[in-house]
Amino acid sequence: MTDILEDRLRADLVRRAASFTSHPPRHFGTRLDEDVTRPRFRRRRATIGAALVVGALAATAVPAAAAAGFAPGVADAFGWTHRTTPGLPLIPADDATGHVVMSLPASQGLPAIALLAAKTTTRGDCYTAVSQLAGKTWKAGSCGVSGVRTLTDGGGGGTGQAVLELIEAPGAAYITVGDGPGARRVPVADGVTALWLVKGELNRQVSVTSFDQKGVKLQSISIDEITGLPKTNWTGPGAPYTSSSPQP
Amino acid sequence: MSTHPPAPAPSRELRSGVDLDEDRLYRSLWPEIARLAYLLSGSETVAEDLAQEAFIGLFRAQNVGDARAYLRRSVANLATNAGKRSRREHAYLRTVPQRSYVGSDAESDDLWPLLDRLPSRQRAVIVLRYYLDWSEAEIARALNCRPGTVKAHASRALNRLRKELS
Repeated sequence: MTDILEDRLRADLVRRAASFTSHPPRHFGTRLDEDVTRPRFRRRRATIGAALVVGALAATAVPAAAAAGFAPGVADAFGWTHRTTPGLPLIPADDATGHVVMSLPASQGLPAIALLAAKTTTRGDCYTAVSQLAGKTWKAGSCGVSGVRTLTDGGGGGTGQAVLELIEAPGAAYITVGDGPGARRVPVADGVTALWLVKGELNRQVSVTSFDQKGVKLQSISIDEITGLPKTNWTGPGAPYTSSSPQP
Repeated sequence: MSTHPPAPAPSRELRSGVDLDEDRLYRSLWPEIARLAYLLSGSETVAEDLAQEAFIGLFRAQNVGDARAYLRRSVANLATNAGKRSRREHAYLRTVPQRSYVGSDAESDDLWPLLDRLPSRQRAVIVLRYYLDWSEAEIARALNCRPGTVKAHASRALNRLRKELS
């Protein structure tokens, strides 16, 4: 004779499992072909050249509430890994606690990027994208205020040959960079993301579009890229980008 | 001077190293692995984390054999490890309203919050035993412990549930 509790467990677990529906966030490695429309987000241009310390990224994956549709502690199809690791050194220093929102390991000639976040009470949320390129540490930083963020074109640039972009896209799950079949898709965590602009995107207009978790387009901007930067010579570890190189 | 836009990048292989068969496997097994992760973790969001992590482990591993069995074991392990590491987060998640359980009856619903209060290992043993009908040996293998330990966890979990219900 079976135990009543055990019978209830069996039945309850089956019913509870049936009540939970989950679809894979995306096909592993799928690409996106989308047209741009209209979102609302902001971009901060990195001024390259700052010498800063990048904390070593902890390998521990700590599950937490999912950010913008991506699972923390898990590498998604685009190579970004979300982690929450308190205590990492954060740049700039006007924060009380820091944690890694996302990290992108080095691959295919691109350097690793750590997207660090701090929450402050007076200046809102601060984010900094930090990476190492050609032996130097680069950063893109922004301290915004919570609420609606309007689009601004940061303009300007640096004296180097690469641009580290910090993109703020509140409410977005991912952005696409570029147009048509060649568009890159980059996840967004806590409303921000970071990326290296690739060679083909420098010194020309680039479309950036944000999408929510369901793939609904939010906003599109056209980035009028930095003028004055060299149009060639993407430098950094690994081979320079060419038009036929795989993109992150 | 304008530059040509980059040529379309090759699709999934270069992006993630996952081929078409793995993609199909991912799509076909995701629902059941995510459900198992949900039962083990008690949280929808954590469940998807765990499921995704299990698939990544699968695709990186070699000579896996039975993918479903591998994923189930992996999720069980991940869930117990996650439960140990994130007790504070789980305590927070318990205060967040979860998806309503449509069609439930009050008697069945009594067990779910009780399961949530079990230590992660005990919960894993209960789920693997009563949802997947795994033997003690199978559970032991999944959780990297001895069958006797599984038995002890099951006994403690059931005793605790009976005590909570009484």
